[in-house]
Amino acid sequence: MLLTLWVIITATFFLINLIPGSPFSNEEKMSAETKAQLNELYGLDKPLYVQYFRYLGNMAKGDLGSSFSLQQGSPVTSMIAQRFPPSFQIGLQGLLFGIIGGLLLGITSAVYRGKIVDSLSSTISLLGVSVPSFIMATLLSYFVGVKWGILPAALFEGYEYSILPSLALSFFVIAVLSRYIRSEMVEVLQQDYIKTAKAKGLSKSAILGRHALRNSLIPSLAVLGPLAANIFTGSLAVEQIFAIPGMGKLFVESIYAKDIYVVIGATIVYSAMIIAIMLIIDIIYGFIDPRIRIANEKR
Amino acid sequence: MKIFRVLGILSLCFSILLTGCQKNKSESGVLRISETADPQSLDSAKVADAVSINVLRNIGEGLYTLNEKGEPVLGMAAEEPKKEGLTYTFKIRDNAYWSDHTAQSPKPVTAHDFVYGINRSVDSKVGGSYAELSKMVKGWEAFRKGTSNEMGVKALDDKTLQITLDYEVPYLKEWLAWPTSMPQRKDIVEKAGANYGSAALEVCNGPYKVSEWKRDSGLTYVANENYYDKENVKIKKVEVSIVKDGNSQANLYNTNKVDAFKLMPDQLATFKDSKDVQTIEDPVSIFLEVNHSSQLYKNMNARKAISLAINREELTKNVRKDGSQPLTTLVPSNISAAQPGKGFREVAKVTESKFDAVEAKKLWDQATKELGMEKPVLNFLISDKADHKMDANFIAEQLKKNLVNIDVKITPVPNKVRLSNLDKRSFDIAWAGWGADYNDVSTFTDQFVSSAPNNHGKWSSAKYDQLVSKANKMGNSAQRDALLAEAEGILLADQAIIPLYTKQKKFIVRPSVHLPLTSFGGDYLLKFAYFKNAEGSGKASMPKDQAKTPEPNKAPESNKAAEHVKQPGRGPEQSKVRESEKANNTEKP
Repeated sequence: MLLTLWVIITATFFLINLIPGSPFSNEEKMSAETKAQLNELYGLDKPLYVQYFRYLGNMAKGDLGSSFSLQQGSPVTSMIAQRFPPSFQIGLQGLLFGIIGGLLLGITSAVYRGKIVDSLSSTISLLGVSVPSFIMATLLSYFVGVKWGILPAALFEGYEYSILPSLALSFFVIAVLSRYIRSEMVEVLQQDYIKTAKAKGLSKSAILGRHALRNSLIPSLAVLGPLAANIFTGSLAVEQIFAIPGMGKLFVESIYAKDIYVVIGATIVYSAMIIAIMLIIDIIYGFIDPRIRIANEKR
Repeated sequence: MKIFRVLGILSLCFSILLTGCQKNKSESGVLRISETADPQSLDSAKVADAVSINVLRNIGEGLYTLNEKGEPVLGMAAEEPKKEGLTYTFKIRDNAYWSDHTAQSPKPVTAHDFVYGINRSVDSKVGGSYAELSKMVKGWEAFRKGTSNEMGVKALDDKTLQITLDYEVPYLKEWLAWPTSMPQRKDIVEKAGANYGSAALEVCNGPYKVSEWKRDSGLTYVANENYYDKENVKIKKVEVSIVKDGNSQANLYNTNKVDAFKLMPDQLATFKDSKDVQTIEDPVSIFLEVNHSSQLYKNMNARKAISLAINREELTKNVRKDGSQPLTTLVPSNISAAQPGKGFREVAKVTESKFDAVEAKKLWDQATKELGMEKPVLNFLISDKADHKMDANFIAEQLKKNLVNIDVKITPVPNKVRLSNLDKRSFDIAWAGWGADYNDVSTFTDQFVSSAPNNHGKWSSAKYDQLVSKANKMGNSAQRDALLAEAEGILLADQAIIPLYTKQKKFIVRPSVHLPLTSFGGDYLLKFAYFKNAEGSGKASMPKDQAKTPEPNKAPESNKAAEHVKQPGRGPEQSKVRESEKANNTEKP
């Protein structure tokens, strides 16, 4: 994990420095002398490798540097600490909504295969996959927020403000997950061991819950990892539409502003999050699929 | 069936997550404004971006401040200064206190606070980007370089401040009202250290203080109880939310979550006919930079042909449709002359180069013939912003249509790359602009002297340099105006740049709210804001049809009589023009 992070930090550091221009705002109105003085003040006049090793040294002490333009002088750690919770909240809720919705839709359409519920579920999935989250966010904000006035159309001032953005993020997860669960369940329900279970007189709920769902979840978990990563890192448009002070906005704006240390700090957080999600998924695999546990124990 | 019980529980969880929501109710008497960006810093010495400047205008106050019309008037200074040569002596008000002042622990605003604040804004170790605004102060250069510990800003006693200049400038009052000339408290700055300005600022000397600031989310202004003019500060609390999306701003306005916001380009069409639109001239000049080192564009006929081939009326009226006005000069119309009470455009008459497709084609053919070129390719550098692309596509189409033997290659790049390419002179023509921070012609004319960093096309005229340099060292005089008018004339006659248009700032302000807008350095002055109704709530005055179910981002009902506030600062007098009148009477620069 540390090695992966180091590679990512190094690549980001040198790539962001390839972008032309200075990281200071108001660049257009600065004289060459002022720019040079600012570069000297912040050590940006030093060779790139010196800046790199200095950054690594500071990072080892927990100092991720300061912002040059977006939040002039603020430590990157505090900027991230302020933006991470809202993003994490809407991301986690979005994932939760997505998993719950996906499970409900997938199981129902597998059980009622070929019936109207199944067709309805297919339509929802198709919409969820093909309509981008920012369109969904705009529609939710307008209809639920403005037209019907059920939930706030934007801003982030309490729990209720997080629901629409989470829902907007969850549609893609619902769509993908429900399709996976449906197709896996349909396949599993035709397996011999399901027939055996039925022959043994097990109840329908026991067959679905203990045998069918558990086995259908294994391949679904494989997509849940990238989906979770996608939801946590791809919330920019949704954050913008709902005016949420989150990481997505910070990340994109920092790239535009060439706010070097903010870009690297946000990259570290995102990378660490993706690595953690993958790890959690691997652990869950072990719980759901005993074969993985047994294989590990044998080793 | 157990599985359906599980599904039931899941559905329940889902519903619980979705319910239990109650909308926040807006507090009465609180003005709610949305901004499109978070302030970068509230340290007046480091201020760099427009939003921070706007906040500082409302929480800080220099020796001068802005009145409701945006003109500089006495602020912390008790009276007009005593002037001896280039030395100004100011008396600071006896009733000027910081917001943390109490009877037990008096905290008056002192001359030392001014010395500290102004010196910090120039100190290269602090890293302020507006240090050069104070260049006329005696000893500026040595202080900036660190070879001297002081410059011409001195505290004679606690309430007497002396400022000595190297040369006279007509924008002295504007400079003294600008954030970098505001006082700062040494104890507060030193206590916060590097974090000063990056969190809520409770110790202020202006009409308001920032009681809360959630980064990227919003900030809260609370009236400063120790402000000398607190009786005239009508609104005691202002909440600002940061909303970067134009649609979301409109949604918040339509659901009565905000009372005012600056219109973004994507919302201009939606609110085109709204009676809630308030307009004020933006002191901005948008032009094309021409690379004077390029073989083709060294040719005067080529430059002139490009300028004549662009129909600016069509660009502003039919393409931009945002109230922009055609511009054929460097200095836009709302900049004042040095002579009091006059606009620069009144005293600086120049021969305008208007759209003339026939003449343009003739000149272009002549230029290509002289240079032995058949169909030159024009490398047009722009940033990847939507409105730059819109302008560039129109201009490219105009050039191809009117000059015929030309190919235009538009190069859209991120803004940082555009700036870098401008520095490297990697363009033939480039989209560029300059916005005035203070109301003075020199802010525009200074940009095109040979050594100016923003003279990216490297146009050079010894006569122009001489005129600008001479004018800059003169105070308020007709001679200064004449010199700068002559300099601008030289620049335009030589087609050093190709002016395109000037802009307007547009705000949506709820009819129940009075919010004075300002052209220079900042957007609005909260000190003069008030609710027109007794309730003091934006909601009370919301039109019924709008409060019910507005269409997506739909503007309130059409009213051609939208207010247009023209604000030329210390120049021509203020005027309010109705939208309909403005439409029939397009201003000709």
